[in-house]
Amino acid sequence: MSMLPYSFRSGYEQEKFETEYGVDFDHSGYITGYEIGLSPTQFIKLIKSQSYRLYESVWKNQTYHIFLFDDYDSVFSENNRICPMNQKDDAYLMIQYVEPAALGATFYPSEEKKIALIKGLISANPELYPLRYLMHPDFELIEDI
Amino acid sequence: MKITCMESDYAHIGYVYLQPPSGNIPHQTNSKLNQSIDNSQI
Repeated sequence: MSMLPYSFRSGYEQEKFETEYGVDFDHSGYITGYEIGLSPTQFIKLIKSQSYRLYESVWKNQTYHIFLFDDYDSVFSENNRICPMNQKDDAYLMIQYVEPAALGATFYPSEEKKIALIKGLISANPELYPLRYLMHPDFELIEDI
Repeated sequence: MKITCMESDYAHIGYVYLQPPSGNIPHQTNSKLNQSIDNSQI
């Protein structure tokens, strides 16, 4: 899995890639949350298969926590990229590039940009991404809004 | 980790709160992707 040479926010703002929906950042470029295309069927399947899970690992002589937002194999695919959130070495995203057509989208005029799907969070910053929060799932399904 | 899935007649959208949510309506609801979609394809 290779590392992208730019932060997620700069890639997002400079349109090096597209995203499905909106992404929320704080003033330092850390992501606070993001929207995704997610059907109730997909959501329940991910919950039942316990795909949302947390790992602890040592990387660059530092303890990191890795939160998965998809099946293990989809997150740890060697084709995925690691994207820093900013210049600091304390938070990254694991992203998968997909062709727009794979999500049923067509760009006009045609562009070669891909869509970045966030598959995992890598954090060594417990103040911004508290371990206690990551460890306690809170799943909410809202129907007929 | 809070993850919300919202189902409507128009879209299935989720929101992932990477940080603990501080309010009930914390996020923007813009569809960046949809702005780029060729409507003739719909």
